[in-house]
Amino acid sequence: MNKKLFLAVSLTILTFLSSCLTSLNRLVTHSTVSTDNRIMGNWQFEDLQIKIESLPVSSFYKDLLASVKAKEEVKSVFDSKEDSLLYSNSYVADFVRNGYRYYMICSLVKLGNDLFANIEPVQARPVNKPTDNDGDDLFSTGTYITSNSIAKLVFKGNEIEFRFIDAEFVREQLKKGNLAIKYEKDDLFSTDLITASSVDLQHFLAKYGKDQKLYNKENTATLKKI
Amino acid sequence: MKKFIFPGALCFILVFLNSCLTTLHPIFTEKDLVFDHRLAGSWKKTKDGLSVSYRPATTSDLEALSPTLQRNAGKFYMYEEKDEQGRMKKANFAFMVKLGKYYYLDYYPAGVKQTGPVDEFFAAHYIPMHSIYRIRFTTNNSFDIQQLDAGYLENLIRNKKIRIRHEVTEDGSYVITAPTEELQKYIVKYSDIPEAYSNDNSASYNKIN
Repeated sequence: MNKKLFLAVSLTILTFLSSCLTSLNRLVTHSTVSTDNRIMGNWQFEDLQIKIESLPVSSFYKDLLASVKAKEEVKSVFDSKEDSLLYSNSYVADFVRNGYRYYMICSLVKLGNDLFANIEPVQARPVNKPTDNDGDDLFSTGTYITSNSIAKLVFKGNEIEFRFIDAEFVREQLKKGNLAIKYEKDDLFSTDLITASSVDLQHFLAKYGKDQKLYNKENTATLKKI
Repeated sequence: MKKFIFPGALCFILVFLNSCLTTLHPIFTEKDLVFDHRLAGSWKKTKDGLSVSYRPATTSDLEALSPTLQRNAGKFYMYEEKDEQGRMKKANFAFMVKLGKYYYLDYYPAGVKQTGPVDEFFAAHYIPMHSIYRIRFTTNNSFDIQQLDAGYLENLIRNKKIRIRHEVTEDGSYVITAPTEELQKYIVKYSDIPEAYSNDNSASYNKIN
């Protein structure tokens, strides 16, 4: 890849990272996961078509199993009883952008009367080169950990709103000491990450999840059913 | 209930960490940065012949970094690994720092592979980590690096032999969240303990040009 493009990609990522606040731990656990099949189907979001399927019956999972050549490979940290429970009740969303198909897992949890989604990345696979190893190449140029984003889900007829938490609002409140949630911030690299446990995240949303200040239009993705 | 199994080929939660110590925070502050001209140039790894290069970071490399780091352009390097066709395999910022008796490199990801703009939302879920190596010049034209071992530190934490800020995720992975000062203290204290370094991630390099 030419150097300018490589750096442009890095610039895009790092710039966006600075405006996004994600969590090290998942909001949803195997014991709290909930399902709502209204989320399934084909959706339009701006110029993207997004398909959301139940994970265990998804084409993503079928492709994954088909790509496993040796039974030994099936053994992983994900075949624990807990992961089995979590992922068998989760959904996978996929969309194509710039020659890559992106897969993200969406797990739901009900807190009070509200439904929240935990979204985590799984794989980015080149559309025209679906070989076994291409998927994890995208981020193989350095060392990363994956994190989770959190959104409140609101169903409105043929639309779903993913109301993502307003990172700037949370940062501001943390700075003022108005919010108490475990959080790491590194000014030198403009990195920040919520490190609260799943239980603490749930408590946080049970307490503040109804506060409209936590969300705004800019951080809301409205998906329209196709 | 039918057991739902995820293939190990896609370990998607945590990442490319293996036994290498990686940290959320850097091991240096602005004033700790040192620049050693010997590192600039192209190098060949003795074990497998892999070619890598280090060059001083330029302004255009740094646009995504903080103003503090941009101010220090010229005090750190771009580390690049290319395949035989000249395509970029790895690109990291490399920051050199002296802690106690030794010099260390703090590598930080500088980009991802893709032929077009990466999806921002997807990418925002990937948190770049610092990978820490000790570097020793054996001559002016050769050096060794050894990565700090994550398992060693995790054992110290597990056995309550050290207090260092960290998180244990639900799948049992350790994420070191210690601030720079704590990291520096750890590195200096255990700098002469061979087990604190990973044998799997050590390498020698000879200068090509």
